[in-house]
Amino acid sequence: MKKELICIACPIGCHLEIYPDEDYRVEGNQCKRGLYYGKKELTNPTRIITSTVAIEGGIYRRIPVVTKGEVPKDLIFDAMKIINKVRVISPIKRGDVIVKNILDTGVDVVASRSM
Amino acid sequence: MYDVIIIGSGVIGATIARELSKYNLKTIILEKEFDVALGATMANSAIVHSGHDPIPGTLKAKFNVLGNRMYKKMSEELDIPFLECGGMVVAVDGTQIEELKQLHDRALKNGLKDNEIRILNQGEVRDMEPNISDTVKKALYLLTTAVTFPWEVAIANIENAMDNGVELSLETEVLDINKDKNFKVSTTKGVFESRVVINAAGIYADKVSNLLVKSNYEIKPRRGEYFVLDSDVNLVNSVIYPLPTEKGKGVIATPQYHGNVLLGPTSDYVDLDDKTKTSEEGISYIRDEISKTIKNVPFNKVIRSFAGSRATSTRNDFIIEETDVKGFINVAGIDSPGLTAAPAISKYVTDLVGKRIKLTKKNDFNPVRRVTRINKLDTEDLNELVKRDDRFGHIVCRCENITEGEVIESIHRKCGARSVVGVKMRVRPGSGRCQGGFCQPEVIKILAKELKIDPMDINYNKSGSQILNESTKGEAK
Amino acid sequence: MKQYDLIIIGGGSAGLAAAIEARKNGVESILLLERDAELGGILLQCIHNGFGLKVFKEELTGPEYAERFIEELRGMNIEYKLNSMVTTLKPDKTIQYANANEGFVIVKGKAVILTMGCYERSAGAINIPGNRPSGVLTAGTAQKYLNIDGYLVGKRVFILGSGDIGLIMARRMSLEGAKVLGVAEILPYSSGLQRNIVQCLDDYNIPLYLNHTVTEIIGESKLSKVVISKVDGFTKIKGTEKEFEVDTLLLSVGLIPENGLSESCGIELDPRTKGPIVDESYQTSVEGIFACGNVLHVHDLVDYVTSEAKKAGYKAAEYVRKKLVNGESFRTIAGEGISYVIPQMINKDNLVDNVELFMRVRKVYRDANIIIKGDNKVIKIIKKKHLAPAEMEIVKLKVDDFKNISKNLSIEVEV
Repeated sequence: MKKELICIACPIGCHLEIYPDEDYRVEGNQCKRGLYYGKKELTNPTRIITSTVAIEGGIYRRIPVVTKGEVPKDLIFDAMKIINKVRVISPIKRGDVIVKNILDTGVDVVASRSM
Repeated sequence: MYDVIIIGSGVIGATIARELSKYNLKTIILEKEFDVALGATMANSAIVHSGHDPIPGTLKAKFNVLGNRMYKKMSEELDIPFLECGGMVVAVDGTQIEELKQLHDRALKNGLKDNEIRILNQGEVRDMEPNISDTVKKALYLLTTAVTFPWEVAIANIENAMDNGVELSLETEVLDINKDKNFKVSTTKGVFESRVVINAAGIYADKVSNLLVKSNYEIKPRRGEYFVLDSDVNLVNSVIYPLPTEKGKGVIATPQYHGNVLLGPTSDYVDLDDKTKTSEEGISYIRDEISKTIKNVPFNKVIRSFAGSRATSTRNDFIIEETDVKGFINVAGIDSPGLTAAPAISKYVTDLVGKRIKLTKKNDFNPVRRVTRINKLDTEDLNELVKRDDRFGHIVCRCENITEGEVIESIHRKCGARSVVGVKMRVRPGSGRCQGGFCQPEVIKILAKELKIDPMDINYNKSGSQILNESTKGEAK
Repeated sequence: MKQYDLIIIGGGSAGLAAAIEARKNGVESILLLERDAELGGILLQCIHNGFGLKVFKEELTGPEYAERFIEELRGMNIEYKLNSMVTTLKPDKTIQYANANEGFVIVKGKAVILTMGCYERSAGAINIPGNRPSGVLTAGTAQKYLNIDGYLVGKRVFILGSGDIGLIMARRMSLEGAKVLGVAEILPYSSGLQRNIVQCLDDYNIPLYLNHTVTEIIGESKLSKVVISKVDGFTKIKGTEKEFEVDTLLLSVGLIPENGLSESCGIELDPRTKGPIVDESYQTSVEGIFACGNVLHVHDLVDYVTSEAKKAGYKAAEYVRKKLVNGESFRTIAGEGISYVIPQMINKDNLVDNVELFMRVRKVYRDANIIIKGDNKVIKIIKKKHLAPAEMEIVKLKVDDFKNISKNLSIEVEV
């Protein structure tokens, strides 16, 4: 049996054909990230989360943040609840950890710019 | 206690207010909306018509020609944009050429002078208007046709009236009108008393009149839809009219003072609910009709479409008269050419007021209003200005080059802007090709800061039209 | 009047890369003019990830991508001015800009690079019937309110147009607590990247209505409803109306290169890209004025903007050193199935390394060939499994490929 997916590993968006019965063999990928994505998406889908947190003393009221790795897709909204409560104070540097090990995923939420 | 209450703040209420402010009167304007001039004044062709087409003998004919002759002076005094571009009514076939000649005669009957109108042949028309349709054979050239900026006509007149003592009460909807010795006008903001009431309520004039005296007319909203072309399109140099029909002046191409071209209007009687809705039919009607007079219309350069409704009355002419109740004056049914006629109407209405209240001229009337416009200054003057106030060096509207200083000035003037559209009506950020995509967040910030209110409370145009719904991250205001 | 070797108008991704590259190639006197309060341009509000895979071989968010370039530029001591809007550009390369500190200043460059970016097609431009209430915004404006200013513009949202910003905003607004009821796309295919359909719509169960458009906007002061209808081509099919109770309609209906300044300077524009016509060196029809990035044509990946801007920066440096040749040029032709090709002109004398041709196809193709012809003779065929208008295609040619071409280079799609 074959499953079709569009690879989201990068903006190219390769059209993948995945064969779960054959240890998730992947066709249609242009790079090896597609092999990894194809299998992962069908077994344990994960996503990067990008959002903002409230900041005091910056030139704007919000500073953008990003998870330093992918978190399980079904934890996205739980993660947002935590991100929404965070308040930080300027100065913040790009890469500063805003939430450590969010939801015990082993993934940190970091600032994606300096402010 | 006021001498005069004016109901409505469109160009009619505004010009009357200014005219009355020349006299020792205590006058107030009552406006039900969040800002002035949000009715028919907001959405029309912006043309100062010559007076060629109203039926001779009507009030429309009389006040159109008179108003046209007053516009330049008013525009100079009040710093209102005024583009003396001329106009032409074009004819495509034999019947139309015959009608054109009749229109020429009608124009003369209405009081236009010989040297103000002229029949042009095809070659002359093409020389003046390269994009005129090949089918156009002749045109009636109207030298006194001009273009104004209607929002500023109303706002400038009200500002100047206020400079000369007139009061303005916004968000003040008239609920009832009674008269014993004086008029008692009940509103959403309390009762106002006066000796004279002028009903300039536009599309609602019949309803306002009915509160006191059964009106002998009805207002039928007649909707007009328009397209605006980007300012880089050089489509026409003058106002191009088709021949008028009983439905009105037809779909016109109008060069605007700020470089855009306006295409429209349609003409359809509609329910009040639909008075500012554009329609699929209207959009295609304009396309079809304009293509009869102009070729190469770049519809891909449309930056906005909008609709407004004229306050057309069942009496087919302007209604400017005192009612059976002495001191209650209707200025109703002012559809086209109302914008042109406004300054002349205001003089006439002032005479009507004079029948009830003895008018004495103010010694200290100041007829002049001035606005800072960076586009009008040379570099030296600009830099003087920026030295005095550096916010005139910070451009917030990239399409039209409008500075923070100009926006702030528009907020703090009398009758100042309180909403995003209010700023747009006064100094035009958001009128360009991006339609506010870039400058709207800046304008909201400036409004919030200057008015000392939360950005989330800033309205787009009317009450309850806030743009920002909720602060993220669970933050309260 | 202050003189510079190179003036760059716009400090977004294109302007930053062009400035850095020009400096690397020996241009000492550079002025970068940025209208906003910070360098970085629109990347600063594009807080999602997906940037930098080509340039940095890692996946960055927009602000991260921008900051790397900003740091590099600052490290080179390139002069830049913020809050500085260019008000005039003349063919002799004099420029007037304005800011609060200096007022209105005139400067002159030996060369100029235009990197003003693009703007969003507005509600006004697409003539949707109905009211004009608040709550109808372009997706990018809503993105700025959300990501920079911290405000949601509404809680129940419909999106017209499946452009990338609209899709990204569907996800962002969902994450921040809004309900996105659907996305309508008038074309039979999405105009955004496939991956954004998956991770911005599918992930959040947001339906995509292909062959649909918004046919009425309802609401007096604030938006209360939108009506969508199915279309046959661009014509609404009566009886297919669906109503959505929403307080927000976001528009993601196209980006347009922002060429007000270019037009006022007399620079010739390509009606298809709405950007300047450029040659192999990204030089416009006005000598010494170059253009790159979204002001030239709308890109879907910032990485491509960067590589294009680097070339423009390099070529502008060559121009300053008087090394560009004003020789004979021939045209590139967008043939069957291709909507445009950049550059539009090629002057062989200036070709030194590989040439990248940027293009978009007119519709979706499967298993098609891109055929490149020089003087009507096939010089290259590229097999493609999938081609879509939303995805820019890049064809790389070697200088040698141009050896025998003298009249034109054409590109077409063959199924």
